[in-house]
Amino acid sequence: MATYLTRRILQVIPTLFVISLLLFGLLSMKPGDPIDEMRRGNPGFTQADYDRLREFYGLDKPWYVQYWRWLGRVMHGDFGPSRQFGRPAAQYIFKYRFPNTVLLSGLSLLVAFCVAVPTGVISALRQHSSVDYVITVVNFIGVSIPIFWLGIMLIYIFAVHFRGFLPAGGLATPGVTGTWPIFVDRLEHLLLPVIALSSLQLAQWTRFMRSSMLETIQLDFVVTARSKGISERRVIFKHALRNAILPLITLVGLNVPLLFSGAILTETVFNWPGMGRAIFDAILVNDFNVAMVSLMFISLLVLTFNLLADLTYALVDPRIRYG
Amino acid sequence: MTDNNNADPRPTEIENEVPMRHSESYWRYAWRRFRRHRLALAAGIVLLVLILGAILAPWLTPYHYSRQNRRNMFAPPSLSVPDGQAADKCARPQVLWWRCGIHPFGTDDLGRDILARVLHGGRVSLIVGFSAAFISTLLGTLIGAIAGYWGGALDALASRLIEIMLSIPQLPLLLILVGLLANPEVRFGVILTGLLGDSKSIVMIIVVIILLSWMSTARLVRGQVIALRQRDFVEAARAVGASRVRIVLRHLLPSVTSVIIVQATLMTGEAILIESGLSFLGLGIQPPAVSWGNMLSRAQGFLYYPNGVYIAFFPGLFILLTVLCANFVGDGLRDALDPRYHGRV
Amino acid sequence: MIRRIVVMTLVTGLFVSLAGWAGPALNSLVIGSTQEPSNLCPWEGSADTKENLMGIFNIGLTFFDSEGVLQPGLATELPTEANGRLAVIRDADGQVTRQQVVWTIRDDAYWSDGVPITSDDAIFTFKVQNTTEMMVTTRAFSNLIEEIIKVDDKSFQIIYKTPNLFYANVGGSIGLARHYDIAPKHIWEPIYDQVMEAITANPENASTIIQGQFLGSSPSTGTGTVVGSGAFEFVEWQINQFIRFTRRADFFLDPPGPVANYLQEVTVRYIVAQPTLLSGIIAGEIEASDDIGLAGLDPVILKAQLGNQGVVDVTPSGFIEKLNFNLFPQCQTAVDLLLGDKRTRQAIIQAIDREDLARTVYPGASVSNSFLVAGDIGFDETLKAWEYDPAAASALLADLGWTDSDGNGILERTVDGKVIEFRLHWVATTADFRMRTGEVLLEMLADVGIKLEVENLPGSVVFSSEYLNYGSECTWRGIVEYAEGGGIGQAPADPLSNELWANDLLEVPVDAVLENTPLPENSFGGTNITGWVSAEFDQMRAEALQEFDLAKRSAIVVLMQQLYNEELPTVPLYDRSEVVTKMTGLVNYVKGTAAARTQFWNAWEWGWEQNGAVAVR
Repeated sequence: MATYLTRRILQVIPTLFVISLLLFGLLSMKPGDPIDEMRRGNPGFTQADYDRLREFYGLDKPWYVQYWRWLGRVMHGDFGPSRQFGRPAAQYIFKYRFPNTVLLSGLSLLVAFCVAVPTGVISALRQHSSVDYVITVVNFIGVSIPIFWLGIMLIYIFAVHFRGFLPAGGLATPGVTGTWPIFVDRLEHLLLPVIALSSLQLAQWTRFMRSSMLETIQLDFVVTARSKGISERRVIFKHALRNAILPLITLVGLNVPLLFSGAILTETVFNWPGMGRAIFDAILVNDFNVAMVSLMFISLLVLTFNLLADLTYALVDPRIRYG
Repeated sequence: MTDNNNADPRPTEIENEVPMRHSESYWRYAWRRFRRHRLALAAGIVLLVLILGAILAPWLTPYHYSRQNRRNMFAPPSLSVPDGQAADKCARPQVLWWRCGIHPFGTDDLGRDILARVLHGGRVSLIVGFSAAFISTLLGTLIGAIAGYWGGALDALASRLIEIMLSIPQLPLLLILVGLLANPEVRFGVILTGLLGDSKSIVMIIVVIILLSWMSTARLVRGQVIALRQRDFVEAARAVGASRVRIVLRHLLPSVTSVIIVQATLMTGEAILIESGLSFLGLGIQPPAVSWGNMLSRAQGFLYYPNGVYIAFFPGLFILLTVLCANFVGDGLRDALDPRYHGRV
Repeated sequence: MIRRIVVMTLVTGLFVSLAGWAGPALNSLVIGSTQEPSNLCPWEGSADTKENLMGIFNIGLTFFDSEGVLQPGLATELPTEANGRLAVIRDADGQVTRQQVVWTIRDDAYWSDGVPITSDDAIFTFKVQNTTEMMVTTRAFSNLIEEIIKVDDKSFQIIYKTPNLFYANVGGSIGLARHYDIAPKHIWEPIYDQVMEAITANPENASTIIQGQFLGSSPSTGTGTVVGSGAFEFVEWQINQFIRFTRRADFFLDPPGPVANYLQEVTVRYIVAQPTLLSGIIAGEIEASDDIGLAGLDPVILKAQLGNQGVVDVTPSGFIEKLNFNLFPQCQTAVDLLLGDKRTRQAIIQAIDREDLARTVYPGASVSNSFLVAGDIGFDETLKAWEYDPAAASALLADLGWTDSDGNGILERTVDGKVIEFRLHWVATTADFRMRTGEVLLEMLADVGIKLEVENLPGSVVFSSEYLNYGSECTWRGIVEYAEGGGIGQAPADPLSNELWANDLLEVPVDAVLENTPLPENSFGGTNITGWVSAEFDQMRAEALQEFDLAKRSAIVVLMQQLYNEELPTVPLYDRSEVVTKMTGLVNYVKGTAAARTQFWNAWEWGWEQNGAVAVR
């Protein structure tokens, strides 16, 4: 077990290297850099200015040299400055964008989970009833609906049609003071994006919970518990649910890293200043440092959560042995 | 990109009601079972109607999908010709009850008929969906089968590749790849434009979606092949001296066919969603080509215009409908083809 | 259980709606914009948005007001020959050899932290601008200055190398720094010294040092003391969200009434997506918009949505949206499509219904026929209008040898046995109105047999130097469309002026190389990206720049426009208008003319009528 663990952890490092090389190489292939944006605004911008700035930012070197330099700095914990904003890239992402994504995605995850579990259980317990049928159809819709379209429709209904009932985007209204008004204001801004973002996961997890529950109910230990005379309620909640929920938790765990990069559509529609959108913008204008630090972070998360998921399985299921 | 393993593990009534007949082929049997899934059947019919509509689109509408009528922008949906409406330029005066001048879904921000665009957009979105799904599934199957059966170094390499591809944040990778290929600076992009002209963006999207979605099929098939590898019939074939290739092709693949079919159907929905997401961000299908996704890309800006919401509403509705039907059908197929299938990879 | 949930939801809903009824904030203003500046460093920056923002807490030596009249700001008075501050020395031939301008800073001009503004600040600003290692955005303006001499604590003299009618540019700054002329020495000098020391010790890492320690310094990122010369003082910057300012008590320009009646606080809110900005405006969260955020929106629709809540202003922006043609004979496409022949360009301009185009994609804009805008010296309204006339266009194309022999709707012609189709490539950014422009132009040109190949690329690609400046290598072929300010290249008068000249005849000796046309010989430098060369135009330009008599200068500029209007090296589409919203009651929030450059030129005059402010503009 210990050897397996060590091996897996050690494998993470070369994987990260390969990923970083791949991403850096791809990003370098995109021409156009922030200096050219500067050039646009200034016809007086001479070629000499341009050359000077290129050399200044180290853009005149071939990409593998740039990668090597980047790697060197990263080893020292320096992810470099953001070319868009001047601030350190890591600070820009983690201080200003990361918390917003955590708020939005974390809340969506929570909402999705809290609704999926009871809904899935109900659906499983009342299998083939009309309730189950309705829930199933709604679930299908949930996994089939384009999130950004859902977002746009929600904005239309609640911000346009019902004039300003809810804000059409953004993080918060500036100038609001006082704990309660701030709390309410934030809630207003979060409501629609969370609904849009959680829709897909809610649907998927409900179905998963349902099938997991159905499977568990069939299992021997449940039948045994019933035959022992334990009340149905206890059977369900104490025995079946506990076992059924485990795979869902693993699935949720595997989904966590996706939250950070995958929310970009929601963040675009609702103008939420989160990490997903920051990555998109950074890629478009070739802000290497910001793009690389965020992408590496997400890759690391994915690998970590995969590892954790496998570990959980190994620990929980005595039938699985790694060595 | 997601796992769709949510089938109902308990035997359904259908299984009990529809026993396999003696000397009936597997496919016949599966079809009979499928027919019993009313929802899936209905969804299948709707899907066929949509596909038909998309194929026949050029002949079904009086308008050309990109013909602008700048005097009649943002017209509301109506089934008659409003008075005072500026004359449209039509390709034909009438198709069934649809006369030139009627805009059942209204017109968009440049005066183009929305229904005509939805129908034509369907062609692109469906082509992208089906081909990406089909090819991605094939590719995944191939890699998965080879990895599963050959084992050893090949398997290790494939698994490592799958893991890396799955660890890279997929959406950003998608953005980078698409941005790269769309760029006139990049050599490869220029070659593609030379070859494909206007349809370059369509091919690119398909390629990019394939590159990022073959992994789930590969893992699925690999698992299946590993499980089947030890089975008797395989041992027998080896004993007789069949080559590995032959074994994979003649014996193993047919067993995984049902898995492949289900996967391809479900992947279609996914591919359509990915394409529309990309086009929405501006990186997918480029105008003047029309797809459901790129109809939505500018729609958000017009929500405040009178009748502007229809520009956003209808394409999205059709995406929803198509993907929904694809998912229902896929679910039904899964139940019909392999009743005992309920594993999680 | 269910009942409890319902009650909780209702209660929350009640609170939520009540919160929306909170009273309006007093004497403050929330402005919405779509483009946030990257930093507050005065020497760096490419976009207008930063210029806007800097205007709230800075003021230049001079500024243009909403009527286009130049006013003194930090300066005590405008330099003229009459008051002896402007001296133009000419040689025997009448050529200007030297120009001297003396500025005096007002006695009551203080930085927002109380330190007086002195000529040392100006000289320091210029010093930083000229430091080679500094990643200054451009030196095109400051390069015209030979030196700055300190006269006394409040006065300094600028000596120019070449004649410069507008010692002040259209925004009122003279080009000592990118944004506003005078930066606070007492804030920036310690940072500057420290950075220069670090660079001397570690020259290979100069770039990183400057990026991190200069651009990343606290006055630049807004995390430390930010000091300015203007009406408001900086309070805080929440990146990607907003920047806040409060009114200074000691500003030397007064509002038209008691100060308490006018704005005490201004917040600029950054919302990247236009639809979200719009919804914020309609919801009343955003009380005014800047001149950039609502580009391309229909003011009529906007007004309808706002109702009585607000007012929509439409002002000319000074930017002309135009089609730039690749005219380089080195590029095969230009040769194939005969782009170098002016008849081709004349055909294209007549094939486009520019009024219809403007009305469709940029409501409020007016058709342009010149490379100048109304208000520029010598602007000629009587130029040939090039009305929409597809028949005339087709006739011109037929003259050039184009026919549709195979009936596929696209014109062809045969050259040396090879068939060439009229496929014209068109590139622009992905802004909404440009995407629509592409689709409209496609249809209009198809009617005369030209197949427009539309391509919308992100700005970072379109404006990359490897793209725009390599027209002679055919990186872009056909057309690239974007907007530029009008002007005759009289830097620093108009930093965004369109520069169609090829050779600067003012510099002695005259270079043989066409210095403003990007070619391999001059390392692809210069702004005349179309490659149009006209000796006549260059000659007229040199004459005009040396002519300080406005009437005579106008006459020369009129001739330049007539030449342009006939040759059409670029096809002007429309003068972009700016759409600005403001809630009812907001007064003096007016840009007025393109010369004012920014909406925020008179922040000290803004106020709410409801609170007693008086409208003077």
